Amino acid sequence: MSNSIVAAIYRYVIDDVVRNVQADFEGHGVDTSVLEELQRSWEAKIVQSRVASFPGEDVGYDQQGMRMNHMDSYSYNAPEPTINSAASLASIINNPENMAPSAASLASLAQSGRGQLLEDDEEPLSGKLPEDMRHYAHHYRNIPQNDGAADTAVMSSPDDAMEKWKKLRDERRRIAQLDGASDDDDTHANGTSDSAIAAHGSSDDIKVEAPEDAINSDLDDSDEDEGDEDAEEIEHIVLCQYEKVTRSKNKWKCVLRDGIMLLNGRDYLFQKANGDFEW
Amino acid sequence: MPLYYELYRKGTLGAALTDSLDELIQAGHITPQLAIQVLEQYDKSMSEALSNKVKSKAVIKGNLRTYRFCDDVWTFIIKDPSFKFDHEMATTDKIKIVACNARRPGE
Repeated sequence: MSNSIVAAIYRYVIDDVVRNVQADFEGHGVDTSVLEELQRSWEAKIVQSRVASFPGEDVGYDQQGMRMNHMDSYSYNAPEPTINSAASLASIINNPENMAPSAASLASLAQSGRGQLLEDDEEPLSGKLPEDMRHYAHHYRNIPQNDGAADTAVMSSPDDAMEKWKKLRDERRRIAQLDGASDDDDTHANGTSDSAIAAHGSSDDIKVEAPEDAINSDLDDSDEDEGDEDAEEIEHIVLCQYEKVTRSKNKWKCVLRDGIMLLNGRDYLFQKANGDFEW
Repeated sequence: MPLYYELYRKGTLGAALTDSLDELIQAGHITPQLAIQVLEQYDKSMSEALSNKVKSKAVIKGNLRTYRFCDDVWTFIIKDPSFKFDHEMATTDKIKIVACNARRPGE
């Protein structure tokens, strides 16, 4: 079943990303505990999304998850997945004293075989660390790049990076807001204005976008707003690559691969998919 | 790092990662540069996982309502699509397919 593999693949991707960005975190002078928090927070969101059945969250959940794959409604009674991770992230942000990994998160890390993240020589974090990190982040621009290749060469300044980040973040939220209401207010406002742009194509509306968009706004819109004429309705999407797209009269055939499907609140993955469409 | 498509960031996993990174940026724990590096790693990890680890197949049928080919990206809006996976079926009212070229320029 293409849904049942989702948990395993997502598990793999999370671990692979975390493993491979460890050096980046070190290069930026960011403590390992922040990476651990990123992982916890990321996992918690995925579990909460319920796009697949994640082993270990709840034994019965898997069974129910499999049954509900048969596309009927969302009427299962799976218990709320626990979101300790999100809670612990919040508590760490709000309360620097809690920076040291809690016993529970240590246990869960060990259980899932990622104990290597917690190196023996890692000191429990002192309460003043977050301040240090902010300090570091603030002065990041002043630290010369002495360690070989410039790993942030694409960004000319931290401000540019922040603009780029906001654009990335807002773009993905606008297109992939799949869970109903927006997460926060500014995104909501943004999404509204964007659909206004899509609907009217008016250059006046485009000014609502971030300033750095203004110069190329027309070009950018044609790229980013693909399919947005239907965006208000669509919450099912396939993200994939095409090998072949052919048409004979009104019949279209597509050979697709490496796809993620977000369908009826569940995720599906495929290596290969054939599309047969009539226009 | 070779270039990988950013398209999978719009999936559930990429969206969740983006949100988590954003929280860490807002809290001042990481810089946007680092966050972008993490997303680039995600592009790579997700692309490789899909191409190397996923074996399932699917068939999608339906009425093509809108099609577009722009910047080497196909976008299809399919009305009343049906999906057949290896062991299950699904339907919905409408789906958008966004497909990048499997053959990257220069490959």
